[in-house]
Amino acid sequence: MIRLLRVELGRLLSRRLFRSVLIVGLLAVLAVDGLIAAKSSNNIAAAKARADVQFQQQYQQCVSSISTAPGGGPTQEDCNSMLPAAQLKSCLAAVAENNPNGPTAEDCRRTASFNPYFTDPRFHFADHAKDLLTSSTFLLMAVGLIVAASFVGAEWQAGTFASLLTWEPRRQRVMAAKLLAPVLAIAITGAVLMLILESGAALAAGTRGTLDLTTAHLMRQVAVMGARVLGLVALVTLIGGAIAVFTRHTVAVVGVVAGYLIAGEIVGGMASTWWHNHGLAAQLLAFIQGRFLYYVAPPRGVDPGTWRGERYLHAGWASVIVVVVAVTLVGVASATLSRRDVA
Amino acid sequence: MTAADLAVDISGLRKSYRKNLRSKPRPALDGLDLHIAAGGKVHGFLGPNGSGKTTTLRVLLGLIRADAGEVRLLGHRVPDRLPVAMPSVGSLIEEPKFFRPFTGRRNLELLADVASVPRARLDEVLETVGLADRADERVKGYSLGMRQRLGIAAALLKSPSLLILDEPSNGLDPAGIREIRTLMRRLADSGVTILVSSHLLAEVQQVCDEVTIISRGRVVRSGPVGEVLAPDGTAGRLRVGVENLSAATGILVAAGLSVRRDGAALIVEGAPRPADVTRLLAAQGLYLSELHAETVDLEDVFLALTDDSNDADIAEVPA
Repeated sequence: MIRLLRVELGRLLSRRLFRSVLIVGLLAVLAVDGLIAAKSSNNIAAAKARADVQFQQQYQQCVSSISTAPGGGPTQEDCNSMLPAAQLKSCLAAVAENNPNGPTAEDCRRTASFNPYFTDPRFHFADHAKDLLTSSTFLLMAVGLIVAASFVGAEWQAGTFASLLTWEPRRQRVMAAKLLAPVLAIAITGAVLMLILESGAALAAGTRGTLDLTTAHLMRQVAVMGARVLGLVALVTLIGGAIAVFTRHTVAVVGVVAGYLIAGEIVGGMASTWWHNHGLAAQLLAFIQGRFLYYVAPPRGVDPGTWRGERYLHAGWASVIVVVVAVTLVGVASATLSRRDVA
Repeated sequence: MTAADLAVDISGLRKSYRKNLRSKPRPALDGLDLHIAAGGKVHGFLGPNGSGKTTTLRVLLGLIRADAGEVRLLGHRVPDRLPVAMPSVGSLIEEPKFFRPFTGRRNLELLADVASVPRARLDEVLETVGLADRADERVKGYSLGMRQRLGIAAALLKSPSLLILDEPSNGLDPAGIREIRTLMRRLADSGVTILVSSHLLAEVQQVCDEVTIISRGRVVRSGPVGEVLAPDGTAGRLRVGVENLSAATGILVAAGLSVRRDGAALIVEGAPRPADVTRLLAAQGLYLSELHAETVDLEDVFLALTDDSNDADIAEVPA
């Protein structure tokens, strides 16, 4: 079995499609890291100066549009209220009222120093580390599906499946090797690409941005999320290969998956709220993010003011569902292959 | 002969195909029996298009599941014990299929790795089929004949004791056909049993020790080539030229031979030896102007046996 798997891996790695995907994936990851580094800047003073200029321009625009006519435009007082000093004064007045829910003096100082035109030009790794993973998940899933479907489908089309069976007649072994090879290759490739993506982003943050709040705890969370993403990508790759075993064609796999997405997820989701919140797409999101939040409308007769409609799909249950789907498809593929005549 | 002595042992093999779920199944194999002894013989497997040759070979290799019948390959039941038999079986079924973007050598390497065949064996088989110089070119640039050679190389890779070849001469030029014929003979002489299906009847007649002719999924004749050509043991037909045809006819008929006129000569059948005809006529003062043994060739026998096989009952074997 190991020998067969090695052969299938060798064949997969020799394929032009896989090599192209590898190169394009690597270039895309490097491009994203490069873009992050290019857009990030440590020059906060310049960013603040730009924000101050914008603020002054906004204030001058306000002043120039002052009108004495009633209801005709802002008054001088309206424009002055934009100034930090005015905001501080107004805030401190509220502090003086000693309202327990009111602002503190510290709040006031923060408010007064806040410039709405200022955006931190630094790339915050802690804020984006997880987003980078989730945004690459669907791309990796699509790539895994296509690579696996093409790997198996092309073999049916070329007629080489029969040749291989005259060397290894145990069909289940052959199928297992053919499904495992793309799963392993995509999982390893995905892991390497994600590692490069995160490392590049961290490097960009360290040199041209900030690693503030990047704690060991955060890195553990990122690692767990990465493992979940890889697991999901591996399962989707397995599903793509399994469908190709019984459809015998790459395009047919894409058709089946696209058909499911349109009929099952989009139309099904529009027809049923329950399905929208519990369908495969929702389960996939829960699997990746750890949980998926959705809202349930209050039942008839329940006061909407007191109703708490937040519900969650959790990663554990979602993983069970995704694994069941994959195992069912592999089972169907296995049963079909063992009975089918191979021409 | 026990089952273990047989390289191929097929009894009562049946297989039907249907074009779709609503259509009636049409038999491709209808109780086919085939028994080929192990030990270095070339066995020809002949039949018209759609007679079930390729289906039989595919069942033998476990690619097609039979509806009924028993199949053994080198003494092992098919398909259950196929993994035991397969390391000793090389095969080429119809047009060989390879990964076209890969080189010929890479294709063979992938197969060799499945069975842990040493890499040195690759060079040997490539040399054997005359493809050593072109092995590092992509298969998509190969001609049909080159792909066929590569297919034969793949079949030889395992150093098989049984070689199953379906139309091995397909796409080869005359020199290539002769090379394959010589190769088959050489392999058989070294102890490899070869089951070969071919449309080139003259080739089969030249190289095969035994032959099986099938029609409509059944065996219509099987045995050593000589026996298949002359099933009643006769030496064949003689063309006899003599001046007095009617006198000669009387003498030969009286001797129990079958005689008919063919222009200015007689066709005589049933004579154990040509010398018997000479002696009978000379004893009566009739001297021959011509004596020619008209041998029956495989094509005559094949066409005679399969003459009615082109009707609509033959199942179309899916590609």
